[in-house]
Amino acid sequence: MTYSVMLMPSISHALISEKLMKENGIECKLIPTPRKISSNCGVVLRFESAQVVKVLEVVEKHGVNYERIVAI
Amino acid sequence: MKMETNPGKIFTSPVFTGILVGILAPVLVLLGNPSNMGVCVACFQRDMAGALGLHRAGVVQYFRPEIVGFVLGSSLAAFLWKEWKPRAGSSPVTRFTLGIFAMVGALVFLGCPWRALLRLSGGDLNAVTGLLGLSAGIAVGNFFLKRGFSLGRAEPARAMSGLVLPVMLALALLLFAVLKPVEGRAFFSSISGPGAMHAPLLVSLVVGVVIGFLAQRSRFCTVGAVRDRLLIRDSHLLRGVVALVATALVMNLLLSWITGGNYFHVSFGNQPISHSAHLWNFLGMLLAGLAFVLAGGCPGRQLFLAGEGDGDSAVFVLGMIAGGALAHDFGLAAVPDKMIDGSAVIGGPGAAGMVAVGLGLLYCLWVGFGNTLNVGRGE
Repeated sequence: MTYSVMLMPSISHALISEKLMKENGIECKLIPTPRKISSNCGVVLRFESAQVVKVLEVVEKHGVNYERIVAI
Repeated sequence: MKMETNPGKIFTSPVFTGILVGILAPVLVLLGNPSNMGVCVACFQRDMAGALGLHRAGVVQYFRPEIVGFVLGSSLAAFLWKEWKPRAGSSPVTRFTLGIFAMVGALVFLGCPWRALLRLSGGDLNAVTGLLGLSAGIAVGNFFLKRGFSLGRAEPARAMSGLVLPVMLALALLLFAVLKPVEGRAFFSSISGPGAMHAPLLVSLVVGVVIGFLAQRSRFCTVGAVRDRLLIRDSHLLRGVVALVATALVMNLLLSWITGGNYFHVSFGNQPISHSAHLWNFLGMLLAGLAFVLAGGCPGRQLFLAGEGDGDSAVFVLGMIAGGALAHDFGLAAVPDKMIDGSAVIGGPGAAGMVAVGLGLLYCLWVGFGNTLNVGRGE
């Protein structure tokens, strides 16, 4: 199984996104930002790469800012 | 505890940073720094405020090279690994004021989270009270994070903007070293008290650079450690903090054994630069912990971020230095326990310090409730 992470501008963005994903039935977990990725925030949202379209739908629908999505 | 096997990975491990700080901090005490104060970001920034003449408490004035080293070491690592990212513009005035109150809280306890850990490893039980307060403050900060607290996004800035703090600190330290301060000439330097106790300047600087370098690589953060444990049940950073305390404890026992000095004894009373007014140890660190979470990291982490070019962290650092000046101008800092005529006199903050802690907590609540993300509006 491959995972992707969504980089967020702040830990609050990450917490809000986690809540929205769970409300929409998307499995995800907040993890510390992997060392090979550079981000302003120390926490990223990890989810199965297959879910990326659903994840994007949710963040766009709720107007949540994110930095970018990276496969890990 | 998970062991890192890849040699390159060791540098990015918070455990390795923690072990190194645990070794180096007691060594700095051996070489002259005050007891249980091998490294204390709050105390040292307060000393720097004194060295600049921003307060005139004659016993706490010294331009601490460790702090300069923290920033420069982080800059070096950030340059080498291409993580140098000048940025700024996330609520600077709010951060400056958070820095002031974080310092007030720390000086009511008599130490930042780093010193709290080092005090614990020296057997000072007041550190337990302080760390409980710190954790409570972090938990309150987490409450705000969960309801969408954010100080807003930083914007990329020009290189010069990110260089101001590292360059100014380096130049100031150079001047301090060259001028060898005489009372009232350019810098102040204590001739007695904690400010007069310091390891040789170059040793302090090199230790600071090494710690700054590693902490930038590993993202070491004493407040982030507790925050992540409570908020996302992640112990990555916390393992580094535990490693720090364990290593410093072993070092203190070793140094006591080798030198015959008093590096470790378990008690509340009669501890170096420490008071046992329990309520105020708790409340001081509660304020500091809350302010650190709202600002995004412990005072060490703020220095490492400033080294990476983060102008907002640099503003927080300047706020802490200003807070150190205010704390001693207005008598907000706590007084250590003392032995007078053979009997122990409990220290702690005076009335002004107590009021300042209350005001600081109110300010933090205002910041916490007043900066909520409006995600629907594209924030």
